[in-house]
Amino acid sequence: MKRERIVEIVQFVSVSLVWVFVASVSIWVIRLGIVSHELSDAFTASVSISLVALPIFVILAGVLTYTFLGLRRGRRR
Amino acid sequence: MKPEPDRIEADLLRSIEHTGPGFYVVLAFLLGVIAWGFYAYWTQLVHGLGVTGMQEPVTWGMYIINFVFFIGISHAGTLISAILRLSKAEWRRPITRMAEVITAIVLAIGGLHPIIDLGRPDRLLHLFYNGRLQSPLLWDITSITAYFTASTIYLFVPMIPDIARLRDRGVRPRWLYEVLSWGWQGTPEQRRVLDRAITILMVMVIPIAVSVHTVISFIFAMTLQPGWHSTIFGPYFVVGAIYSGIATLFIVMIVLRKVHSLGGYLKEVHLRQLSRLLLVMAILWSYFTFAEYLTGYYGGEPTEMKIILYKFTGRFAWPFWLMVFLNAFLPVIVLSFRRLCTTTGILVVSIGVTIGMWLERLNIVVPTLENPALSFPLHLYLPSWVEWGIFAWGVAVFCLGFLLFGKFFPLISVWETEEGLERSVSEVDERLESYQPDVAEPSVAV
Repeated sequence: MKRERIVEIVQFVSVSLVWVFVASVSIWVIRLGIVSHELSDAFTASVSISLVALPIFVILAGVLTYTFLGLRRGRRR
Repeated sequence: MKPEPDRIEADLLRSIEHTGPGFYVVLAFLLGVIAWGFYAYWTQLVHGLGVTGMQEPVTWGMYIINFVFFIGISHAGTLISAILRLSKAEWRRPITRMAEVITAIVLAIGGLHPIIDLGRPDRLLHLFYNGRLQSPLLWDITSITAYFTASTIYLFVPMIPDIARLRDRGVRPRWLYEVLSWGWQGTPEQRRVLDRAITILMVMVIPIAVSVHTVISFIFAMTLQPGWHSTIFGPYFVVGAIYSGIATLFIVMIVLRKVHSLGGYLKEVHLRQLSRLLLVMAILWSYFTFAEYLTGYYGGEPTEMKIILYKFTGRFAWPFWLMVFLNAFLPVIVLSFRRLCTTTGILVVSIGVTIGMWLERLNIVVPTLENPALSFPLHLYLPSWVEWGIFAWGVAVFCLGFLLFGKFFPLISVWETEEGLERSVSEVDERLESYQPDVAEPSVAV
């Protein structure tokens, strides 16, 4: 029982780390966008690229989380 | 004769449950090569980029060639796998897993090369503090990171049922399989979730993969350098990447088929089906190469002509014409004739294409830099032992990745093979039935 609990905690942590990764990428990209605005350095181009890049990471992490939660819900009781 | 499900499981998990002495011999050899590669890198780290063959104006050499080469190979995997799954090609089942593993390993290796090229890896931090999103180099980093994330997830999710199988068989290390199996029990609800996740991923992966090599081409095409500033570089690079990727996939499949005795699962028919795709890519690559050089030659612009003649008749004539032979003539000749298109023939072609595509990247990167528009003193680039050592390191890490993956996970998807045995014949029959013309009630003539 204890082993099962540890396995579950490790699984939760690993899925959470994916969101930490996505958050890190988002913060980095947004920061670069702010810098480009401050320096008047093609801000619109930066925003356009961010708008393409960020949703990809969010959707990927979302699919992984959906699979994780879906498999947990689908287990036999 | 069709095998029983138990037999399939035993066959495909054999290499995980039993380790022969050959495994340790290969492991020791690869670790030796990797150690040599680390020594080469250490030499570069201590003495600087002066130990390489790079010198102004040739500031990009073997590392950038290998970067483009390895990232190109990565297209074998996830992209091919996604296309085959999406098109419901039944012969995909023994191929997809190996293809996906190639992507994950090679992307990690390729992604490290620009950092190696920096000379001082600490300069990578500048990217986080002072990066410019408008730079194609930043697009590269973003798209490669997205592709690596997508590919790893796309490799992992379809592996869950097989990992659970290893968990249930009590294979060691058990904790690894318990953690990674995510509580899989094979219930209908779990299958539905898994199918839906795979479908979303395979649709997402295709545009991401195409964007990656397009963006890599932009680090050349966005400059005004002769030989690089080309509007067709995006699709040209994507075609080349898929081409080299399929060739590498063939090498991996044919070697592993022999080593793990998988001939009953990865049959000649699978190789022949995939060889058609290789032939199509050979023709497409030849077409793009022809179009790229013809337009440059026809324009006759002096700086462009200098590069073209440097490749056609100058110092780079032998790598250029060897590339043309290996990538255009050899594959078309061998793969077009059934008598030549045997396993050995496909292996020879694939090795040739892999070498040829490496030469293509050499022909793109170096000649332009050796002939700069400004008057620099002439520098002829020759890679040093350090660069060759790091290249050997990359190849060894690729082989080691496969060796270790095959030790812990099945190289051919067990559940998909079983599913194919159970369902594919009836599914294909149904599909064929649906293609047939419907007999409508004849309309009454007025």
